[in-house]
Amino acid sequence: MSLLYLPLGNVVKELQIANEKSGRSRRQELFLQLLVPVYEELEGYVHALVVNVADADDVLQETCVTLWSKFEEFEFGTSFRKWSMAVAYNCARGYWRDKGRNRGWALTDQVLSKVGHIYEASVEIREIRQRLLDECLQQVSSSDREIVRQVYHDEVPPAEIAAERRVSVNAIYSRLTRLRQNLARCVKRKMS
Amino acid sequence: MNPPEGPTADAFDAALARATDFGWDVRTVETVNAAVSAEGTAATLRLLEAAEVSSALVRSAREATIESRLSRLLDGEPSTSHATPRPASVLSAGRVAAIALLAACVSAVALFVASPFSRGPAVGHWVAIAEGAHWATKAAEIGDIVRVGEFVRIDSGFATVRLGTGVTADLIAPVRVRFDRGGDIRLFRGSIAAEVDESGHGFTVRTDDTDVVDLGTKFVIHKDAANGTSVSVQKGRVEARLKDNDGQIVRVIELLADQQLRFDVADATLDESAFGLAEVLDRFRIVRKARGGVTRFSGAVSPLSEVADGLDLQEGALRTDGRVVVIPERTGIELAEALSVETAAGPVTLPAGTVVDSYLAHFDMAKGAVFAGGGKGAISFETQVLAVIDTATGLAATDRPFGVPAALFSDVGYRGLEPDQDTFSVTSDRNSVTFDMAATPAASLDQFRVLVRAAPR
Repeated sequence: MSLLYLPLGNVVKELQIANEKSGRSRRQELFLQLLVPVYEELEGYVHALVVNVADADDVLQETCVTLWSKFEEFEFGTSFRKWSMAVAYNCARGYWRDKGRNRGWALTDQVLSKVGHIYEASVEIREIRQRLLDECLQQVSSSDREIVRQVYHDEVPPAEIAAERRVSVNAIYSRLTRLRQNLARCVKRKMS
Repeated sequence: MNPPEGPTADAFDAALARATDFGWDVRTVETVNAAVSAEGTAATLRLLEAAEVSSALVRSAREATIESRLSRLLDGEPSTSHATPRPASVLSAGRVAAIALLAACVSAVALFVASPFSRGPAVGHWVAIAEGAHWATKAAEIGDIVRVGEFVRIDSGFATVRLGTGVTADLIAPVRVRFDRGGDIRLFRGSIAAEVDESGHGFTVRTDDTDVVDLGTKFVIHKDAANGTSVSVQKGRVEARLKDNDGQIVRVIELLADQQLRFDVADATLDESAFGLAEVLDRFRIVRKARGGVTRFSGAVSPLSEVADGLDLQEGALRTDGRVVVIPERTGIELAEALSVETAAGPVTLPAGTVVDSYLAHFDMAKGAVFAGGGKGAISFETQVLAVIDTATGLAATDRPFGVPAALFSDVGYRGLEPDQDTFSVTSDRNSVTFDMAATPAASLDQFRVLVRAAPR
């Protein structure tokens, strides 16, 4: 059982015990306790609204910082998940508004709203797919894993990975695309 | 009314794939807008599936980091500041799992959220950052802690990190590194000059084709796409472990002082002439010259990125923007006869035969500007401080013998420190000078010169 579902008084008591060693404030602990169970869903939500991986990372960071800075406004007894998803949606919308202002093009509010609604409505299927996806990820080769790690964790620009490996940038992108397609196919196969 | 016709499924998938890694452009945005508007739920579900895969890949990319952090947390290392699980006897299995989940996720969250959340354990701290250094990742300040998993990219200038293992490493831009467990460094691109104490033996710099393991030394390692990994040993010895495409060690080579090596996994080249390293070594010398024998800069103090002969240090020529710049001047000056230097506290005499290195602390704000703090800090040297020359006349008298060759100095009367506004002191071990300089709108230039016993070269 997650600490999230304990009565608030018990949660605070647990946190006091934890804080004796951690030195982190009770408010921070409480915030993390609430955020942790919804974090992955929040991450998926932001990826769905932003799509580009690097930008999604920025929007997710902004979401976390906004959640923390506005944490005092969160009303205990209401759903933290709903509140955090709304904040994430606004951060993503801000991202697209900036794009619209600076570049003159953006996903429309209508598209964002559709993505948001369907994401919310597909909780059960997403959970199943997520489990299958985790299984499929086990089959990724170590070489592909290294590229994924370099691009998505170390943030090495694909052009530099390509130069290091003496291949074209397109070859790196194609490899990532192929990997995604394989994972999607793997999930589909398992679903059927 | 029929919905407008959208792009084909292939075009939609291609647009999503392009947006995922390359980024959005007008064409991909139009394609996705059109597909979702025309097909509605079907297109949106495909977008969600693509996003699911992206999100899972990102999670898998940081999996190793989280796993190592989690195991550290659950092992109860004292450095952790996360919630420590109590013994299983007083916790239900569910509770342990919840705390484990929390610990894992806190680490994940901490990757994205800056303070107040703690991150990986500290492995060192920044001791020097060149004035004007440009950071592509979050800019560090002197004294900031460096943590396991931290990724650093510096596009210009240099920064020096002191690792807890006894390693001092200059990261010379353009450089991209990650700090790994145990104080080792993963070098993706650029140059590192490492100086390793006895306690730091075993310090390793990893590139994709070589692991360089220190065996007690000073060495420079450089990685670039065109030339692979180059290593040059200045002193002592290192072990270069050359790896193949699969990361397997295929050869181990020990390099001694003055030896160098280049290895390129892409074409399996091993070149002991280390072609291309000369330029790197030149940059390394520039950095070493700019840092001199300063072991630590504290507070609002920086070295310059480069100290060249003929430097203009007259009032207004080198603005320091609220910081003090420390400039290594001449080194290894042997006094042929006793030297008496003037300081505000009275003359200081250095006996004949003393070998001296000189440093100039320079603080220059725009004339008439309102000073908003800064100019406060400390400099620590490898060797002992012999004298601090803080008067305009004392500075003028020592500019030529000790100053940067052909440098231009100011002759304004307020060039030295003002005893009623500026303070400095030498620490009891005589290795550091602490100071608080407060240039005023009328007297915007403050300088003092520190003579230290020459560092061994």
